[in-house]
Amino acid sequence: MAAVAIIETSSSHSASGDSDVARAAAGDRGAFERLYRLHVNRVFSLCARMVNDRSRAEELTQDVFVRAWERLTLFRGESSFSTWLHRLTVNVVLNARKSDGRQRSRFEENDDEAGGMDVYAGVVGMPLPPGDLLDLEDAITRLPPGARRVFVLHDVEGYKHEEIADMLGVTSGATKAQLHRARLLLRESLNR
Amino acid sequence: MTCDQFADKLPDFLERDVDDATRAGIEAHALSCAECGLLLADLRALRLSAANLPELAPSRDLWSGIAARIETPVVELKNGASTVYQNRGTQRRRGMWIGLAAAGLVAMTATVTHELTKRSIDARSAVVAARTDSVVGTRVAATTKDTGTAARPTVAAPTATLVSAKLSPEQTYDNEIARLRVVVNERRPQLDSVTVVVIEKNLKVIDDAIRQCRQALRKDPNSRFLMESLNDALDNKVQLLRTAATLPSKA
Repeated sequence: MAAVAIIETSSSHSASGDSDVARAAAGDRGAFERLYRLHVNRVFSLCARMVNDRSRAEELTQDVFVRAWERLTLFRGESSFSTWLHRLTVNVVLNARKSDGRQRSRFEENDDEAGGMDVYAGVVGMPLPPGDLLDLEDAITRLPPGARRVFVLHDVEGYKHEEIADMLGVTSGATKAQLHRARLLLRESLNR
Repeated sequence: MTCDQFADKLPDFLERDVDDATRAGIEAHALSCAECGLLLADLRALRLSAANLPELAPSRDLWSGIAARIETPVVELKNGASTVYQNRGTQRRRGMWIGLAAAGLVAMTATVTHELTKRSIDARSAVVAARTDSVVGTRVAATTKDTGTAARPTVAAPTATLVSAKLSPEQTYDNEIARLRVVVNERRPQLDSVTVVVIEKNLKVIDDAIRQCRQALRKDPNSRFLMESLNDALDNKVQLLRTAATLPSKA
């Protein structure tokens, strides 16, 4: 009985969301605001975990919804709106990363791509202060940027290696290596 | 299987990207080696935890910022809001994009254009003023034959007039350009001939860009790049005409 109730709730929720998508695509800002309310936390979560900066993540979240509004008429309904919005979020974050990356110093770029644990020894390798318990969320923020992005996209968001490789412009072998590295670093952090 | 072999195969194993024999070997090693078994258990648990992380929430309501950015611009489109929203895929977005730029343009240049136009018209005869009217559509007061007073156009209307709800954003640009063009044409005899050639050459380049953007937008009306390019070209034309209108007279 409970299962039926859940399905009904979910179904009506989805139908409502679908009609709001159609209304928003026709220019209804009220409907778009409802879509925002429905999806903002998920979009923000992805942004925050990808960029590791909550203020920046809030800016990017706004960018995502502005972009979604601009591109809503291009949404064909081939996937769910949630999936479409999610992919849009990834694109916005990665594009911002490229643009932010151009402003970073060469040293910082090298840090990002070097990939060795020793690069982050100051963060991951150092003994933590007594009583400082890292949970997974915190540990993710301490990952090197490249490993963090792949981990978030794969293990948190559920993208496949081929998709991530396509998004990041690298090989799937590289994303597998980054993912494994991220997992080992997280394990190390969590087991301290 | 050794611990090194286990470590080597572990990433593919976790991705279910190993053959049955390798899978069996890894599982057997994990059962026989406490350290490797713990590693495998930890990584499996980590994966499960990651997939079930709770959603995060922003520290503030972001909607107001979003709403401000998607707000329909002050400049209304020619055919009215209802038409705009019905044709959202093309006209609305293009109108919104260019509308914002046009509104900005008007805010920035209307006063300048007003002064330039006024200055130019003050120096002109009623005939010129009448021609101005025919070109840019400014309303010209009737010539008072009784007094012989030259007609003075009610020109360069304040910003509010330029951002009239009756004008589309592109019309706003076009009107602004037309006003400036009249001023520049009037000033042409006062300018160095070489300068005039350079100005006309640059205007032609910009006009080509505007035409190409408009053609491309007909095929791809949602292209933000094309909208930005069109805005840039229109802005460039306004700036060039403003510069030309304020050039010093030749010696």
